[in-house]
Amino acid sequence: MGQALIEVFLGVATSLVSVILIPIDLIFSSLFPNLTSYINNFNNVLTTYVTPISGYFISMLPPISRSLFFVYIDFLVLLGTALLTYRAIILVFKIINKIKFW
Amino acid sequence: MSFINEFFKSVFRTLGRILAYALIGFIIFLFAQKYVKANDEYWLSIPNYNGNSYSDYVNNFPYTFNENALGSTCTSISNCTGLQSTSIRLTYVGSDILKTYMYDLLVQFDLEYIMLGSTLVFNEQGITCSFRYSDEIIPCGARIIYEQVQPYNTYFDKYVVHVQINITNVSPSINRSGIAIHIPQLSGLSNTNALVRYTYTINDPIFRQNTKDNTDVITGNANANAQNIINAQNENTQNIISSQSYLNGQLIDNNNSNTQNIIDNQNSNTQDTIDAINNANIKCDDYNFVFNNSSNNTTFGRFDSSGNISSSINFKITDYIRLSENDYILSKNYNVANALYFCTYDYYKTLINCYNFNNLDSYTLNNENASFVRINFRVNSGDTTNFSGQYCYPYQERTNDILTDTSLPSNLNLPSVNFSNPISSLFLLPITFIQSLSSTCSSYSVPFLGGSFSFPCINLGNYLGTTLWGIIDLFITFGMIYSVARLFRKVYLSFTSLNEKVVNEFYGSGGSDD
Repeated sequence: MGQALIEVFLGVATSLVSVILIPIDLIFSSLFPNLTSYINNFNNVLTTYVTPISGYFISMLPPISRSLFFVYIDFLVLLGTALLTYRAIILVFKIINKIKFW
Repeated sequence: MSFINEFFKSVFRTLGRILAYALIGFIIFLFAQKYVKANDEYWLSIPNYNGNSYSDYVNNFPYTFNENALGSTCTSISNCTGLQSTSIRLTYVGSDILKTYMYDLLVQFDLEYIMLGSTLVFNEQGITCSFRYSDEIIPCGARIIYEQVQPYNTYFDKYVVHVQINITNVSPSINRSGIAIHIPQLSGLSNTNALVRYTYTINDPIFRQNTKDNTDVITGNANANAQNIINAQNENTQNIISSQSYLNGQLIDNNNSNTQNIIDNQNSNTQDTIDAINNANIKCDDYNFVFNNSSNNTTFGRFDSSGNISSSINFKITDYIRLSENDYILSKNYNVANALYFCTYDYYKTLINCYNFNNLDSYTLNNENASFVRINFRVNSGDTTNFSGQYCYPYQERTNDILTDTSLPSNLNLPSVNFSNPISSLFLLPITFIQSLSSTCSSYSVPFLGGSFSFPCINLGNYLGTTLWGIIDLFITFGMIYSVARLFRKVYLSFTSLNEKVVNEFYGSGGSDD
């Protein structure tokens, strides 16, 4: 149940972050192709090397600690994502407020 | 509180050290194990040192264990009595094979000139297997566990047999030793024109040749007579035969500068001829040739890098070209030939088929539609010409006629459109990370080693014991609970202050006046 809830939250957070960052992604992809490439490479390196080996070492932890660690990490990530989303929404809200249509 | 803090800090520090030392030790253990323990991957066959049963060739086979069984009476394809034999040689590169190993090999024979409708089975003698190191030859068990029996309806067909060999308790000091499987006879071929053209193991890394995978397994050859056949990657052996066309003996289109040095190479110097062949970049297992024999009818043949030679009716056994793994040898009686035409496999097959139907006269060697490279040479009577050539592994698929399309620039780069979302993927890295975490013990394949090396799943509980592991588990758990509790408190305080900030942001520091 808890795991399912966390997965739901993660899915929601992922969708929110993706949607909010769509304009920035487009700007980056079109204006800074090289930088985009570097960022993608960085992401790939992390995903290919860092993430699996981290997972490998984490899997060595004792079972209870490992479960607790997952909860802990999930909580941190969720919290960070929530704060990020919150700040992004505030930023967008401020920008909209400053736009005068008349 | 500070006492608890210090306590957990020291606990985590100690645990970290233990884990680090354990990890280092484990890595050392893994590497040591990798180099001490024999690995199946170090076995491979160097096939194709076999094939037909020309006695002169077979008798030179370094691992002929049962020469009596090799008594084929085939001296040419026309008078083959049906007794065929073949051998497979394997090379082991390693240092320790103390254990008993069973190896399954799928052995494939490429057959040529099979009597249509005939079947092919091994006789009851089965196969024998021997292992050789230094000067000793040790028998090893071998048995056929499957063989394909089918009628053959084409002149070119394959015959597959599943062989299992068993090697027991061989000296650990062996390095670069060889194993040979000898298949004494093929029966069911009485009075037929069956010829084993190729033999190779299907499930072998050999078929990954020309890839880098080969470089880490092929390191040696057990044949003391063959010194220069190592690491034959064959990357440069583009077949360029088809780029040449002759009309009445004249080269009419020479687009390939690489072959210039072998065209019309009027050699009186043997070494020049050797160089010419070596520089020809002809795929080594496809030396399809046609003799322009000045005294007899034109004959044609085919030989490969291991010395197999096939076809040719008017081809006396004493006249053939024999190739050992590093030597191309012209027989001393070969002086009647004054030119050697290397032609494509397709053209060769055409000639063969025409010959079989007694229709060879309709084809001429200088057919403008046929493509071949001609090397002229002169061999004095009594000479034995040694051709030092590169060794090549046989190809399962024939690619003789592959030509490189030079009309496209080599640096042609098609524009690629990249639709990516770099920023969001960057922000979502933590989520990607936690989604990839496994709740069970997992192994880790090192990516930059191509997944060939992997750290196994380590369950420290098995090494430390359940009780100790449980205690450690509890300690870590309490430590984490403590940390998380502190984090919650911090978050609570942050949210409290954030709430005040939000109120101030929206309504001003003095609150709402409405």
